[in-house]
Parts: sequence; structure tokens; C-alpha cells
Amino acid sequence: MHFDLFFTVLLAGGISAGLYGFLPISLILTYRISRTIAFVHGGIAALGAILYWIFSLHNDFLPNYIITFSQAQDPKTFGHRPKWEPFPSMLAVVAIGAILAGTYGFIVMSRQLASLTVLTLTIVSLGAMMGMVGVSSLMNVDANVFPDSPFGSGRHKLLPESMTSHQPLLITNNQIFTFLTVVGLSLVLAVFLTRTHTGLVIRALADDQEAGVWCGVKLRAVGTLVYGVSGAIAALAGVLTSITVGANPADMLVFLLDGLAIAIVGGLRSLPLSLIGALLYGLTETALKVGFFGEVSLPVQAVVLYGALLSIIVVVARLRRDTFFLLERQSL
Amino acid sequence: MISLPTLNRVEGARTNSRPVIRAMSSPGALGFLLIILTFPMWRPTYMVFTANAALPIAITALGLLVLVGWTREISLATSGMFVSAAYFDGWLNRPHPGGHSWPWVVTALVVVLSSAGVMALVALSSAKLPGIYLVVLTYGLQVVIEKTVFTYGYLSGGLGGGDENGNIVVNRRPQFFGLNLSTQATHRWFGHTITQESIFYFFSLGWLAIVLVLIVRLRRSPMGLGFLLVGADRQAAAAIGVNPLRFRIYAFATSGLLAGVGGVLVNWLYVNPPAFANYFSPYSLVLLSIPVLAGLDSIAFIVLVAAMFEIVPVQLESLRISPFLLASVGLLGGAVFGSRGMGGRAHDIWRYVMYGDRITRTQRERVDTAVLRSSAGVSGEGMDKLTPEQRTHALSVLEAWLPPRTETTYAAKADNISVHFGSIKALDGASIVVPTQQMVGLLGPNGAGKTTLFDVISGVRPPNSGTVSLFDKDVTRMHAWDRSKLGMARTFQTTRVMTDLTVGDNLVAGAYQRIKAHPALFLAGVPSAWRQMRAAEEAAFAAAQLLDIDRYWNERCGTLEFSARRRTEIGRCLLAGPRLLLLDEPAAGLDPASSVALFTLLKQIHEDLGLTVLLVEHYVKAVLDSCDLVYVLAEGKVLARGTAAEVTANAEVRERYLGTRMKYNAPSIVAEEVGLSGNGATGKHAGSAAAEEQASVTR
Amino acid sequence: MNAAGEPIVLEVRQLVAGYSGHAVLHQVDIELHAGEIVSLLGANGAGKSTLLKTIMGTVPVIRGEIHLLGQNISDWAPYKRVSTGIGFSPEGRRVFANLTVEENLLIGATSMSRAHRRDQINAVGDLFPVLAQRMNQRAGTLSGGEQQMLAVARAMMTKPRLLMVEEPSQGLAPVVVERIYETLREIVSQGEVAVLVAEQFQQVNEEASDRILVIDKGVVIPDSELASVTAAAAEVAP
Repeated sequence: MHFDLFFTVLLAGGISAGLYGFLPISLILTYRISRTIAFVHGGIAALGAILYWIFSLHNDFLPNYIITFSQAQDPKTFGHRPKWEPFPSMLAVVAIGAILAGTYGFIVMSRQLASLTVLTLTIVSLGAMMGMVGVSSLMNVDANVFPDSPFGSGRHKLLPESMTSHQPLLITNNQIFTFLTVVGLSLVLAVFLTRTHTGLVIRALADDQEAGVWCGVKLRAVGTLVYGVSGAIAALAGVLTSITVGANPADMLVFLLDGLAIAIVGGLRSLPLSLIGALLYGLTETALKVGFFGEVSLPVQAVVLYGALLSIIVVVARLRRDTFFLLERQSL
Repeated sequence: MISLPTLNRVEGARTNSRPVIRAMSSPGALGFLLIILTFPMWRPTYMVFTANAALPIAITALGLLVLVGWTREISLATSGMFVSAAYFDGWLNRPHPGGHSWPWVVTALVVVLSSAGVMALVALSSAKLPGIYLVVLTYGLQVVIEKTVFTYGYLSGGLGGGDENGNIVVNRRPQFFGLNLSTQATHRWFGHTITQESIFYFFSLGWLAIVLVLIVRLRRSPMGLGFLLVGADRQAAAAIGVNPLRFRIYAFATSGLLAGVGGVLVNWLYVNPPAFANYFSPYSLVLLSIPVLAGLDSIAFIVLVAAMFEIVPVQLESLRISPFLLASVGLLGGAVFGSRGMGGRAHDIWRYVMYGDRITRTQRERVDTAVLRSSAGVSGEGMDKLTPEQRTHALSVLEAWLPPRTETTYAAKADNISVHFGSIKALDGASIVVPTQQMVGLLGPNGAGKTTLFDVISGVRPPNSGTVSLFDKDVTRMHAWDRSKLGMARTFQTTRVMTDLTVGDNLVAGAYQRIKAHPALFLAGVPSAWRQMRAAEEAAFAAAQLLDIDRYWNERCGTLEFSARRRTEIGRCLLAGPRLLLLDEPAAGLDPASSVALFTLLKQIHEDLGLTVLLVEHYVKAVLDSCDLVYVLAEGKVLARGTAAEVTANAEVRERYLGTRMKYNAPSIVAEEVGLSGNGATGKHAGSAAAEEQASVTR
Repeated sequence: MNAAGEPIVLEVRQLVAGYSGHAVLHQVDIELHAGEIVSLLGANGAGKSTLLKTIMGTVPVIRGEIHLLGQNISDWAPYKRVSTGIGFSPEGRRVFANLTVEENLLIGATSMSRAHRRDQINAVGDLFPVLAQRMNQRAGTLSGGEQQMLAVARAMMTKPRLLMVEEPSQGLAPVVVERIYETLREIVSQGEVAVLVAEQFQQVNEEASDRILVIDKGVVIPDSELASVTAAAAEVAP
């Protein structure tokens, strides 16, 4: 093992783990309130990535990007709009994500639909996600061109070259922002959930949704709020991914599944545990990429990464003494 | 519901002992067959090619039917496994340096079996973890496949369609027993030129037909019912001898196997290996949506939906329908149709047209409301509905089905059992014995440990200390499903029947461990195996008659009222062939008339069939009136034991449990003389005893 | 007003209700007055639970009306009904296991203002001294009887005029059940609250109830036929 890369791995990996922390937060918040895995956030992340790209990189009107319907139309007659600045674009996308997710939550938490089975709700969520990803892939964006970050393109040296085996370790503004946001978000959420009445209501609903309704909780309002916030977080994750690796809807799906795996480290209920999972995932991935373990081919990297993730999950499951297989209530 | 004309046929009790013929005789299947067989004649060649591409998907989807539909597990690796099978088969088939190549039969077998093996390993490695972890595990497998198999040019053709030497990878179709399938050959048949695609179409159809026959047979066999039971409720499955861990592995292996078959077919179909870009993890989700939309128990519709998923994008090419949109439609549609999917709804409509609505189908209505209101001398639940001859016959069939009566003194013994959850002591040194052929009752409040004790005896929960023995055998370390083989079956507090299946299926599912024939024999259609199935069905029908649910044989349990479901669960236990029956609050939730009737029935079955019964109940009077031996538990310990009289005389029991409102001298509600005449008179006596009392009070 | 001059708290008229258009309740008529405890008896599947849930608002009304304190609440959302004055202790207690006793009570008062919540916690603590001693204990670790009291206390947090308790005896020793019924008596003794207790036949507590209603297959049997039922019920009660 190349220990001279230790600090590189620690810092770069830790910071890159920030991006992996977003979707688990969304998934855990909505799981607690509805006992279903809100796959829909994957769709929102995908849309977020695409929309950010379109807002900030193109100066034509939206319909032109749905080639299917506009093949017969002359692009020039649609007129132009100025490109939007990255920061407002990000805000717009996050707002759209919040609204879409909030609407989804509003519909799904209505009196009629909240009584559907967990299986049906999960399927609806999955279907909504696939639909959004499908719509996203209809839009023609160049996945090789990355949009600009709202935080400028500044790069900073984190550590002196002596500590990082003579390769400069540069951190972009974007990565710093990502990391700080995840940490800040977690803290805010923790305080919110334990200190406010609405937070208490959310925790109660996580225990027993029906009993909450019978106590007079406005389920729909709380549900919409939680979904809206989670959707905003998912959209933000989409934006940040679009900046770092490009806007490819299918990649978003992979990103969601990775996020789900990380959320499962926390048993879908514990935010701190899953953030630790995100951290370990980021560290392992970075370690493999920069050659901490020596030259490792791509296939082996994948095996090691997912093997590590799985081992973490199993260890945590055992530590939390998750119920004996036969006795646990079947969830799906 | 729109009013459809009914043909007013009487729906006889459906039997599954000749499954393929039964499946084929439905009109849907016949119509289907016609369309499928004549397809190449009236559609253009490119459509036939699309259909050819659809058939392997259909086969893979059938594997998912077993995994997702029946066993309710999720795999995100199906897409990767499917296309890897295609790649590996292609690679093995191609001539290698040195000139030799493997015969196609061998490569196909190797690929298919390895595919099954990989999935079985995946299931095995997640042995006792809840299903959600398997989602991650299979996803990991998918990613690993993407990063390895997809990147190797000699397997997947690489990005440029070339292998490591830069040569374009080309497949060969095998010579199938003299039938030349290769794309160059042409055939002539009665003067018409038959395109190569059509030949391959019928070839694939043949394989699909074989797979369909096997799946239908699997579904109707005990193993299929085992899958369904594990998918519905693991604990209930374990209680009648089905090992849920093993079935999970079988289900994964089956889906791997069929994905392998599909992959091999795909490899033969395409000239070049299929582009891997289409088979990333999202495609696994697309495949998952097929059983969801088609219905979790609909074989025919799986094929239909899979075909649609391939054909529709081609037909509507101008709309550029991506797989994501398809999956989206599939899933949302599935949510609309409910867990029984399109197939289930279609089936419901068909039955409605043929046989009428549920009331019409199950002619005999329960006569129960009247008990509360009038004193027409009506008995409890239809005990007098069976003629004496019918009753004797049913009893003898069921007696023949059950194992021989045991000779041991004690059916069950629990010695010094302690169970704690953290700091809470659920059981603290409790000991009970259940003597053979007696009816033993466990009384006591919740928190006293009754259900925990039940769980310990039945094997669902291991005790922290103490021993359990069944029929003089120490079973403390034995799993629940193994204890069941010794002759024990139990019901649960919340009635756990498979709501989407019929009463008939539920009852026969209980017979799983009694049918000794090997599953492979069922798949092969060996008559002796299916005869055993028939015997199980007859025993199940006899049990249904005794429990008065025979008229619900074809009805789905989810539509039945509570007491009928409770009786179905008890019936399922009887079919498991127990000599010891554990009943968890059998009368919970029943009105007085039904409770009385049920206890009378239980007492009768206990006597006639020589069963030992251990029951937990809150309905104190019923227990005191019907049980030979009574235990009272409190705070994890045995407070008192003895006959009913001894227990009620116990001062401590009166003070701590029974309270002051107990009427100790009221006449027995459960008839004391249970005769073997089988004329149903006993039932009448029980009911009319209560009716007489009530009549005398009102006068 | 009934004969004793007590105000009508709950009035159910010709109620037909059920999920997805399938009626489970058929033309149910009920009247509850302040200061009385009414027992509703029925087997599983008879419609007891459905009736209570319809009054709470989680089962849709197909036809008929529900009036609470004179207002027609048939279309109201559950939280609105709770804030108008219904408290519900459901079957199986359904306390929030991972929250403390105090937090459970706070949720019960979620439709009230913050100031009221504090006051009400003290008031409820007086009514249930057992709970007052365990305010910071996780509800999941309470005994069955204590959880039942918590469920009732939680329902009382909104100072309801109608208290509905579903199967309070389930799984509890008779001595514990007696204590719970004593508390219910205390609640109605002030003359403002009506209590509706749903029980299974085997568990009915006749001395505690002022009236007994029987529901079977979605139909509530009128009072006039009850003499015989009471006797029958007496035969089967422990």
C-alpha cells in the first residue's frame, strides 16, 4: 500500500464523499415518513442534472431539445434566450425539484392513496422515476460538456506537496461547497428532528403513520413538506453531479442505486450511520482510483468497492442486531 | 361494475393434477396459441425478427415470475446475467486457435448451469439477511458484471465490435439436429419460401413452449406452492415444514437458469453480440416491471407483456420510446391493476362471465346472523350441513392422510424455558408438558409469555435457556421447518393465509412436506408424482368439508370473511399432517356463536383424529370447558396447572388473573359428550344449549 | 338531548361506509350523550373497527351523515375532526414506541397551540399518575397496561368531547382491565365527555357500560332487541 498517498486519500476521498451523502438523506427522510423507498428522487436527480445543463449551457428555448417532436421545426424560428448564470440556474433547478417532489408527496399522501400497500407505493415510486428518467433521456444534451459550477472554478491547494507525494492535491470550489452543504444539512436536520414539534411529528409518523393521523396530524401537509425538502436535496445532487461527471440520465440511476446502498448501511433509518457509509464509500473509491492499493484494474476496483460496501452493511446489520430472519416482518 | 351476462355454469372444485391440460384449455391460451403460431404468416419479416428478440426476454421474465412474483424477492442483476450468458455462450461456441470448438449442447448447458449457480451463490451469501440486502447484493453483482464482462472485447464485442485482436466478433447458429438455422440458408415448404427468421421463430417458440410447460407444472406442484408460501409469509411457511432459506436459493437459481436459457437463445439469434449499452442496471429495472404489470401469478400475461415491451417500441419507432418509458408505463400500470396485475384482473372478469358473482358461485350462505336475533334453534356453523355418510367419509380420508398415532407419552415438553429481550424477561423458567391425545390450554395475559412460549415450542424463536422436546426428541436446536416434519403444525394470532390464492391452493400448500415425490418428477410429468398431488387434493377437500369451507374452494382467501380464513389456516395445518396442533388464539375475533362452534369442532377433530392440541386463548370459558389440562402463565412463569376445576379453585389465579366477574358455575358451552356417530348432533347441542339458555332468560 | 337532559355529542344517521365503494357499514344509526359510556360489541369483521375509523375519517363515507356536537363532519379530514373534539385510542394501543411518554402525549395535542400542550400534559398527568412517573421513558418499554393508559391519555390531550377506545382489554389481565374502566368512569363523571368502547364479545364489561350496542355484519342492532343479547353475552363472558 502506498502510504504516501494516505493524506490524499483521506482528504480527497472525504470531500468527494460529500456528493454521495445527498441522496441517502433524501431516501432516509422519505423512508421514515412513508416506509417506502422513494425511487422518485432518482428521477428528480436526473431531471435536475438535465435542467441545470439546459438552463446554463444553452441559449435556445426548451422545446428544441425534445428532438422527437421538433424534427420538422426550424430551430432558428424559435428565437433565443440568454444563457442563465449558474447560480440562479441552480436555485431554479432546486426549486423545481422541490415543487415536483412536493407535488408527488401531496398526491401520494392523500387520504386515499396513503392507504395503499407498501408494495404498490414502491412500484408507483419506481414508475415515476423511470418516467422522469425517460423524459430526461428524450432531451438532447451533450453529456461530454460539463456545465459551470455556481461557485466559480477556483482551485485550492489543500496540502503541501511534501505530504502528497509531490502531486498537487487540488480541491475545487465545488467540492468544498458540496462537502460543507452535506455536513450543514445533516446538522440542520438533526436539530430540526429533535427540537421542533414538526420534527417530533415526523419521528412519530416514522413509528406509526396511521396512529399519527388519529392523533390529529396533518399527514398531507407534513408529507408534502418532507417530500419537498427531499426533492430539493435530490435536485441539488443532480446539479452537482452534472457539474462533476456530466448530465447523463442513466448515470443518475446508477447514482441513485449507489445512494440506496449507502442508505441501507444506516438501515434506511439512521442518518449518521449512512453518512459514515458515504464517507467510507468515498474513501474506498478514491483509494482505489489514486493507486493507494497499487495498480488495480477497473474490474477489480468495482469488485472491491461493492464488496466493501456490502461488508459494511452486513457488519452494521449485525451490530444493530437486526432481527433474526424468520421473525422479521416481510416488508415487500 | 358493468353488468356482464353470466353463463351460469356451476364451477366445480378445480383440481390441479393435470396442470398443463388445464392451463391449455382456457380460452385465453387457445386464442393466444392461434395468434402465435400464425404470426409469421401475416407480419413482415422485421416484425418476426422483433418477435424473435422478444422470446428470450419472455423466458427470462418467466424466471423473474418465480423470483419476484412467487417468492417476492428482488434481483437487480437479471439484465447483467442475461446478456453475460449470451456473451459467454458466444465465446465458447466460437472456434478457438487450434481449430476446435465445443459442441453447442455442451456450451449451452455450461452457461445455463453456471448462471443458475451464480445466482444461487448470491442468495446463499445473504443467507439470513432481510430481502432489502439482496437488492444491494444483486446490484453489486450487476455493477461488477458491467465493469468486467462488458469491457472484455472477446466477450461483448467491445465498443467497436472487435475482440482483442481487432476482429469483428461473429456468432454462428448451431446445426440443430440437422435443421440448418444459419442465416444464409433458405428453405422451401410446399412451394413457399420460408424466411430464415421464421424458422428461427418456430425454433425459439419450441423452447418457450418447453419452458412454459415446466413453469406450469412447477406452479401446480408442491414446490410451486412452497414458493408462494415463502413469498407470502415466511413464518407460516416454516410452520408447515417449508424452509424459507432454501426456497430463496431455489428461486434465485431458477431465475438465473432461465436468464441463462434466454441468453443462449439471444446468442443464437444475433449475428454479432448484442450491444452491452442496452443492458446496464436500468434494464434490470425494466425487466422487473414485467411481472409487476403482468401480475404476480400470471404465466400467460408475462409472455404477453414481455412481447409487448419488445414489439411496441419497434411499432412506434417514430416516438423513440426508451426502455425507461416502457418500464414506467409497466410499473404505473401495475400499480393500477394491483398485486394481481393485468392477468389477475382478466382472470376475475372471465370467472365473473362464466360463473357469476361470488354469491352465486358459493351458493350456500352462512346462517349466522340469525343466531343473535332469533331462536330458530339454528346451530353454529353448518355442522349439520354434511350428511353423516359424507362426514364419515371425509374423516376417513383425512385420517388416512395423517401420520399414524404416536405412542409416546408426551407430545411436547418445554423445560425451564427462559427468553429475554434486552432487559425484559418474557419467560422466566417456564415448564409445561403436553400429554399425547389431550387438549391443553394456555391462559394468561399478554406479557405473561404465552405467545413467546408458543414461538419457542414451534421453533420460531430460540430460547436463551431451557430445552424443548417433541415426541421425546430433543428439538431445542432444531429449526421450525424441521420440527414440522416431526409432526407439529401451528396457526398464528393474525390469520396468515395467502390472500391472493384460493382456499384450495392454501389447503394443498399445507401438504408440502407430506408429498414425498421429488420435484423433478413433477416437472417431468411423471404420473405417480401427480397422483400424490391428487391424493393431497382429496385430503384437502375432506378437510374443507369438515371445516365447512368446501364451497369456497375456488375463491380467493382475501375475499372471505374472517372466520372462514381462520378455518382455512387450521385446515392448512391439518394438511401438514401433524399429530400435535398448536393453535394461537383460535377464537380471537369471532362472535360467540362462531367461537362455540369452532371449539366444538376442534374438540371433535381432536377426538376423532386423535390429535394432540395445545392452544393459547383469551376466551377463558371455552378453554376451561374443553381442555383436559390447563396452564395459567403470569409474568413469564407458570402460575398454576391442572384440570379446569383445579385451576379455577386456585385462589392466586382468581386474584391475579381471573378477577371477580367469572361465573364459575355456568353450564358448559362446549358439549361434553362428543360422540362418534357423526350425525352433527353434537354441534346442534352446543348451539342449542346456548340458545335454550337465552330463551329461558328472556321468558 | 336525552331523557336526562345531557347534550348529544355524536350522532350517526343512516351511515353507509367502506373502502373503494364497497359498503361495510349498512345504515348505521347511533346517538351518544355526554356523560355515558357505551359499549359497542362485535366480532372481527363485523364492522366495529370500520365504524370507529369512519367516525375518525380514515374510512370514506358513502352515504349518510356523522354529526359531532351538532356539526356535520362527514367530509372533514381527520385532523379537523380531532381538533373539534374526538380522541381515539386504537386497537393494539399503537403508541409511538421510539418516542418517550411525554413525546407521545405532545403528539396527541398536535392540533393544539403550544401553550395548551403544556397545560394539558399536567392535567393528563393527574388523571394517570402511573404515566406521570414515567414521562421520560420510551413508550416501547412500558407494560401492556401502561401502554393502554398512554393511548387513552394521548387521546385525552385535546380535551375531547368524544372519546373512542378500541378493545382496551385486548391481551390484558382482567384486573388491569378493571382499572382502565375505572379511569374511563372517572373521565365521564364530569358530564362533558361521551365514551364509546368497542370490545369483542368475550371482553364486554357490563357493569361499566351504560348501554350496549351490538354490531354484526355492518349492521347495528337496535336497542330494543338487546335484552336477549345481553343475556347471551353474559353466558360467554369470562
